[in-house]
Amino acid sequence: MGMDDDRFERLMRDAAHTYHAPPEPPLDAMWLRIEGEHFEKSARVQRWVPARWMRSTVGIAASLLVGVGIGRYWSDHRAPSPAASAANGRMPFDAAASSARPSSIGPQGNGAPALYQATTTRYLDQTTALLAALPREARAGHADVQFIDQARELLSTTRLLLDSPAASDPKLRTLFDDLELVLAQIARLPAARDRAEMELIKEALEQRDLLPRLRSAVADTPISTDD
Amino acid sequence: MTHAANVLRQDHRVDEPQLIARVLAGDRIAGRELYDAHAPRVFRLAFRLTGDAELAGECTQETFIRAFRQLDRFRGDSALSTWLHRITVSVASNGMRKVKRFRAREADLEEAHPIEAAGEAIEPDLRARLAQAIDELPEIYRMTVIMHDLEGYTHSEIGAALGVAEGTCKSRLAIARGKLRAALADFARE
Repeated sequence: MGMDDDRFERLMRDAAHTYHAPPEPPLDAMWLRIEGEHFEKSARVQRWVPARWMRSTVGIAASLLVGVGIGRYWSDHRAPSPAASAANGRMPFDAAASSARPSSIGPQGNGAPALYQATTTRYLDQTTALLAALPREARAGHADVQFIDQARELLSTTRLLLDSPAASDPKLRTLFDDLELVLAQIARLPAARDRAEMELIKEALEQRDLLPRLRSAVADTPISTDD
Repeated sequence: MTHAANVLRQDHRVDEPQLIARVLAGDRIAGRELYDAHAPRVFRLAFRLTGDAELAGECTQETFIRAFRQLDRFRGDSALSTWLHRITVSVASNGMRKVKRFRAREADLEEAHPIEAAGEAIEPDLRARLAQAIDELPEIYRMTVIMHDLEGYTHSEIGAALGVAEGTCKSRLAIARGKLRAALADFARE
């Protein structure tokens, strides 16, 4: 025979006050860790954007990261300021001349190291191939996972290039800016079919004249003979 | 507690979308206001489930850290509180699986902060036996009876937190209460 209902209900009401009756929560102490884990970590990630990109990129981007280091070393050690040159007993003219050596000239003579030329060429080739495939993907009404993944990788590379000496050429910089916008749209495509979204991206491609500009940039990029 | 958090407690839908948007933008003051509005109940639930203040504190912190991290995925199709409590239940379950402890009944009674309900004279032994019986319930029944009978959640809220239909929740509650009555059978004969 079980307990009568009234008694059981009284017991349950009592348990609401007595079973693991909670103490006052230490709100301020708990908040300290939450604030540190979320808001301070988020702020660090936003300041150090390259670290996030580093985690998600391979191949081209990895060589770009090496290139940034080489480029900085190159700009520090191969192009002394006129004041430094004068202090070292060299004529400013010599400093200017040394920075214009052909082996250090990038695609548009912008002074970017040769490493960037090869990387930029590979990037332009792959981006051209991806965007050339877009009309086919748009006709199919969806983009496959590999297509979107490749767009994401190229988006990361674009952002690294924007932050590198490769983007010191105004024409290339504008191209990288436009590519970033289109690649970001592709990278955000949902897994489900969205023909309308694909069509919008295709229109953006055409309005910005991206494919002809890409092909022109590929043609303009010299083949580097430097190591 | 901030003024906004007080307003939020009176009508939890007021300002909440704005606070959420500000938190997503990195506004830590908005984060604190959302936290102040919801943390007490989250902590209560965590403590009820774990019976341990330290673990309940860790569960509360983990709940909010996860919630803020996933806030961009909150679509507003349920109340924010329901969403938070779902995370709390999940975190508390994981925490308890790792810890796998219940303090002794005697220690619980010493360290808890019981508030005697007026006019309710309950024998200490009976109270202790019920507490033990609740502790020994299978997890799905234990959570249901704690959330419904002890914390006052509706079946709809419990269903949303545990990921089950309302009908399943009602059924589980009935089974849980049946098990508790059976565990107290000795006292029924008194």
